[in-house]
Amino acid sequence: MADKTCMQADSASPQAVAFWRVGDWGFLAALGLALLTVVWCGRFSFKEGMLLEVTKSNGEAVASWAAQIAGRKGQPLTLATCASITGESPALQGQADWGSCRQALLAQGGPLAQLSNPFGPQNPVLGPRCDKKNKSMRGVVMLEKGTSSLPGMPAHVTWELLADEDALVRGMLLRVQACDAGGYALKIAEIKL
Amino acid sequence: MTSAGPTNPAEKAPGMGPGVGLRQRLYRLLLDAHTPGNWHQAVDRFLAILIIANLFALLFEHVEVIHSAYASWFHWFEVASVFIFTVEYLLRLYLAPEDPEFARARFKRWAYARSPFAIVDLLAILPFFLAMFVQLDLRVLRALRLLRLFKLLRVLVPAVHEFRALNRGRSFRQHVHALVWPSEHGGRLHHYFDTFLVVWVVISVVAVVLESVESIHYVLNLEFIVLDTVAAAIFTLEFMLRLFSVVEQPGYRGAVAGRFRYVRSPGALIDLIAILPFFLEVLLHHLIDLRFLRVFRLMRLLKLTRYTGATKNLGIVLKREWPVLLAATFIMMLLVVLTASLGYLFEHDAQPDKFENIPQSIYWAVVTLASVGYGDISPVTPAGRAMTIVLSLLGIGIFAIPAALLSSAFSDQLHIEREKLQNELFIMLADGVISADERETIEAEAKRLHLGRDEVDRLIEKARRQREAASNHSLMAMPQLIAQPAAAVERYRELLSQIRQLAVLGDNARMTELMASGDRATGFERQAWEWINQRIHEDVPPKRAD
Repeated sequence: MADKTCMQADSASPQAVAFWRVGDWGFLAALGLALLTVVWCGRFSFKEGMLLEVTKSNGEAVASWAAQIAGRKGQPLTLATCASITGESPALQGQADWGSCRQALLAQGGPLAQLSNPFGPQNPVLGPRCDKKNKSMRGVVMLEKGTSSLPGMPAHVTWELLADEDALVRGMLLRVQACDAGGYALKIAEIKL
Repeated sequence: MTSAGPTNPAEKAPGMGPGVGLRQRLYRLLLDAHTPGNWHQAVDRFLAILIIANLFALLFEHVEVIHSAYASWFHWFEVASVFIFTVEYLLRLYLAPEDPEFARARFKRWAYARSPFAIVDLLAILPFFLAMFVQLDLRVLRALRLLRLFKLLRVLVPAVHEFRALNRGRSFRQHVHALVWPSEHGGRLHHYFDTFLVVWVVISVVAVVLESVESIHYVLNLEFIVLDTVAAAIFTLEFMLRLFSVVEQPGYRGAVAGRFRYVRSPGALIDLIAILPFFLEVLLHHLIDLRFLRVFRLMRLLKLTRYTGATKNLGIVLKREWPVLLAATFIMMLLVVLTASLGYLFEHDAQPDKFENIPQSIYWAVVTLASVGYGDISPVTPAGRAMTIVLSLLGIGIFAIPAALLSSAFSDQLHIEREKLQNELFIMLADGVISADERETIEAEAKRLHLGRDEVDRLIEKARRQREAASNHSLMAMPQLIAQPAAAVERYRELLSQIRQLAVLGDNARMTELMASGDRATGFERQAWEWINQRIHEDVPPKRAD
């Protein structure tokens, strides 16, 4: 394993020399500083990693909500079903669109009201597409609807962001993604309503 | 060294013969560090690997997704580990009376059981057995399993003692140098340091590869961050230690100039590339997304080149052959440009989207000439196809030239290295024997050159024959005789003796007659012959000194 040339390398002097030299302390100080920098960088990365974990758990909560309403097979997708609200008002019994559903989900007492964006409370929780250049999009959870290819064509799903006016209907394919610290989308789950 | 090594240490190691009790035999075979050729090192190595495997199992068990998927695997691995550690503990306890450390104790096994290593060994297995009888918290049990790491001390402590002995009276920097650079003062601790680094290089590279798998990264995101931080800390420490102690290396003397020279060396640059992405990504995160730099962590694999001579040989080969390689590259470039131009000329009209211009045709030319042939772009015109046939056949030959050159030069280099080893063996055999130190050097060189034991033995035999031939003055060439007066005297005496034998045993009269007639011999030769002939019986040659 040892290189031959290196094997010959040695600097031992026959007489004993002082163990410590002044330069050694400088080296130890530099070493300590370098290791402290590693720890600081590691801590920073870990903190960002923790923020991503919270974002992921937000995404998982949204996925869990979507799976929950997907599980209620017999019920129509009304605003009441969407936001798990009980009530007889016509507004609640009508066909749910994503905009109103989202508002109801995040409203006080809604199933996802407790969610907050870990990268900044002012950042949206459920929002538009990830943007690497826009830092306020970090930690956002986004929902996309999938459109399958036509029968006879190669299997392929095209994803586009769920717009506020999009109606939530049975059989709809949803993809939950979260934006990480760099603005990259991280896939959480795919659910068929 | 020339004979085959011991195939069965139990038979070959000293103190293993008949008449030695089973306990003593077992001790010398498995645990005695002072019995050469036994299994002690293999046992230590196996246990060290098992301890490290246990550590990894423990770490992975903490990841719920992995643990739940492979719970039974983890369980049986734990059972097998405890079984092996228990056997080890009982064996050490049984063999304790043979250990010189406890030989003076009245109750030898009890003395062993109270020793720190034995207590660590016991703690490594006790929680497993305790859990059978007492309800223990799983987290406590796992934490106790961490104690197994202390078992490594059995290997590390003697290595540290050896290291301290080897470096007595030396400075702190020389200590650091002995630890990180190969030298005669490094001992086993240097070897462990190298092994530790190699293991971490492999772990960090595997982590980078696995990080690219989305499903794994999703689950192990935080674990990867911690792993990367630890790896960066280790490699930063290594880099700093090397930079600090490199001035002790020949060729790098001088606190500033030596270190600056080292920083510019390929080894140091590789070390730097291995750690820089970690720092840059965090320090410049607010300016630019440097996530792409993470791929450079794979460059850590290059750190392993420090431990193999293969890359060094490749570098030498490239340096030696670069003029030829340059010429071959030039021909290749010519052919590529020519092919691309012809392709554009013949195919542009038929396929303007694929052969839009000459630069675009270069891609097709390279793919065709290198015999890759993806098939995404192909000629359709008869002229284009005919040209492709000719150029493809040409390409096979031209593109193969650099590969053949490199292969041949690499083979030559290995041959040169082997010759170097043979020359070293020749020098080592000057005293007729190969000492333990020389054997160690030979083994290290053989490992570097990937030579098997048979091949080394063959080289030694060859060097021995050369040494014998070199010491035989009868076979020496004139320059060698000129350089060695003693051998020249011997040769002179031997030749003179042969002439006297000719004069006594040969047809003396006929030879004298022939010598005298014509131009068969010069005057000097004739006179010398006559002088010898006259004194044949006068002087009896003395016995040779050797």
